Amino acid sequence: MTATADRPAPVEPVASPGGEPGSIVGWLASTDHKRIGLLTLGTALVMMVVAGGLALTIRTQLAQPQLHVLTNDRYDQFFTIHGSLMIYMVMTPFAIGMGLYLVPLQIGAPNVAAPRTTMFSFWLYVTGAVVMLSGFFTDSGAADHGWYAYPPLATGRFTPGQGVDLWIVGVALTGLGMLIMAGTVLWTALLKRAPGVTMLRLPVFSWSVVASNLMVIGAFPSLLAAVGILAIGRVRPDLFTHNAWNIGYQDVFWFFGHPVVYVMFFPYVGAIAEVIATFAGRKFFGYKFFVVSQLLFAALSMSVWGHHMFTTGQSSNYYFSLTSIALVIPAGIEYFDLLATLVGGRLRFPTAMLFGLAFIPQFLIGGLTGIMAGTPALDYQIQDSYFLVAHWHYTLAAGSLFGLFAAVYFWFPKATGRMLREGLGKAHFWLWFVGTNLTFLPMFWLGFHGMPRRIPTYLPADGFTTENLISSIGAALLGLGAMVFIVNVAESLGRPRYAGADPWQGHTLEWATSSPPPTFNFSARYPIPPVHSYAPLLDLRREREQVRSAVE
Amino acid sequence: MKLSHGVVGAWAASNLVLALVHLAFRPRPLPFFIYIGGSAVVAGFGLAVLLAMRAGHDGPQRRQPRRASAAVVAALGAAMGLTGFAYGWWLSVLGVYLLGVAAWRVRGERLRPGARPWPVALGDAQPADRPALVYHGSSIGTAVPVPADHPAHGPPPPAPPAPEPSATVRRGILLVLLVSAARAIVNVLKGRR
Repeated sequence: MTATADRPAPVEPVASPGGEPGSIVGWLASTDHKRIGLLTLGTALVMMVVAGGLALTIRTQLAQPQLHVLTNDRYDQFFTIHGSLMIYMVMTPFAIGMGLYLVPLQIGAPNVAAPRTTMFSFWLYVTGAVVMLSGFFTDSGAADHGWYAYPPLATGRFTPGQGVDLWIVGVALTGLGMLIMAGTVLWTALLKRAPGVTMLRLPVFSWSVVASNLMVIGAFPSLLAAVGILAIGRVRPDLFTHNAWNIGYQDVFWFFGHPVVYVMFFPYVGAIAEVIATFAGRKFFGYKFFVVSQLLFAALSMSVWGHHMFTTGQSSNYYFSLTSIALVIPAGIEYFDLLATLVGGRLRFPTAMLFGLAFIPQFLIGGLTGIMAGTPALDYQIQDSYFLVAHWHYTLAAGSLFGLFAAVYFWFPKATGRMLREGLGKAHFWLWFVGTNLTFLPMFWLGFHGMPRRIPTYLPADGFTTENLISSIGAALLGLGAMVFIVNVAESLGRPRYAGADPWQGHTLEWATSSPPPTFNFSARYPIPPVHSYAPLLDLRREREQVRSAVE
Repeated sequence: MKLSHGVVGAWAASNLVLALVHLAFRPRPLPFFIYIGGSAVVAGFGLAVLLAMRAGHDGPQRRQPRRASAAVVAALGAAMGLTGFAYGWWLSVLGVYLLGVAAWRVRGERLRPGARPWPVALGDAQPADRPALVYHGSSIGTAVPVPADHPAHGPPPPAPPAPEPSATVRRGILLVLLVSAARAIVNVLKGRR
């Protein structure tokens, strides 16, 4: 049997396609998982630019005491929409979108399961983002209650106007979209694998997507329930003043709100694992331990949401502290595997590897301070302080965002067939490495010195000036780095340097096909190679080397 | 292949165990039932995976829709319908019309029976080969060599020269080791006293 085995022609002629190859309709109504994935990733990156612009404005206001770049109301709207965009519209969709693009390729499937449903989910996401941002054009302005919209502040009684309503609709649309998209990708990973690609031959990245999407299936319905409760509370504010739903909302919301942190983490860890294994030139160390730890990590992370509610006095603090601290066990295994993969490897240091390596210590800072925040005695002290802002940003910005860029630099040649410029990439990396630590490290000190989060300004006598200035300078470096990245993408698309099918000597199946891959991912020219492990292309290379050395 | 639903089932079961452990800490009813509910949703997904496998829906999917314009219209309808919450329910009624249009359009995207089992083109592309035929792996089918021009045959990356630690670094390491050893000896001696 060959790849081009004779077979009868289809009895039904192919109907006219929905659009020309490169047409807008061809993209926007596509059923190709790669196009839907790229649309999702591209939208997330655009949203990141918007959210970054909001953050830079916030940091400008805080650079010196008593600056008034924004009014107090507008400041509240900016930090609310910054947080909401980054969580609902950037990190989560990008994580799930990466899975959508890569999982079918890594498992040898021709497409995602239910591609039309997947496209439906993408459009829910886009419309959700537009609806949320449209709040800025209402009389009341955008939502200004923080990204978790606690009642009674977010009810119609205390925050009237359409901004909050639009926020609720936007979150509901995007949440539903991401739930559906994660479901189709998980279904694909579990059921649509090519023969021979068993579950224990799934690449590390695909496993991270499986673990992450399991959490989405379990937790995202809770988000829809939470915004539903909030919507009812907008119409009937007494819901939150006369019964248990005031605290109940927090339970329902955080049952989504903590797992989503790991949804915004696992796929990036999986991406970094692929990057590190590839550029170390060896198989990922401790594969089975990593898989089990990911699943254990995911399961435990469903049981820690109450640590966001320690100070309410309504949470089982002992239980949630125990489960939160237990997270260090699977996290430690993952860290050990990442470091052990590096040891003894033939290391190369392109931009993707630099981002991957920087992730390791930076996320460690976020993780260890998370253990502090997961300890009730400490959490009572640091609640609502800048310490938590620092911890959170070390987790998501210094951690997951570095994973995001590692993934972008690693898979950009596969998705576009073009190489990003290494020089610009390294400039981006160093600006971000310095900028990230300059921005977020001083926030730990600000927290210790008592600066509360979400205040629009402060007095010179407060003693917050120096750290805030350093932080704002770091934010400017981040903005500069982001511009370098945009220039890099524009340069690579405008004056392409074409990538081969496998520019990095990758390990997984997506590197066996062309760049960009054909419509159904693999073809007669680029067939699926034999799959004996989770690194089939590395196996092939080693077999070839063994044969050659035996001949010699 | 059986591991697929096993993964989901085991994961849901581990969450159930964690929820039961929570009971020992006397939680309020709501958090407990939220957790049970979330685990039940995942268990339901696992059950669906199991049923799909038993119905033979596993393996690469060969039937593909041509376009997803109905999905676009449906999403816009859903967005308009929900936005009625902010701007009035008349907008939701318009959203229902869009959902009707989507339902009408989706018929044209369905595959006709004669199109099976070959995939219909995605968007503008030609029908692809059956994915099952292009696999040459170890579990089923007949293995053939990977073509010579296949990228997997590419040369391995050149090994970078192993960096030699500088003399300063070597001296530093030696110093650290000596100091550590000295401190260890001192600690041992202090312990004996």
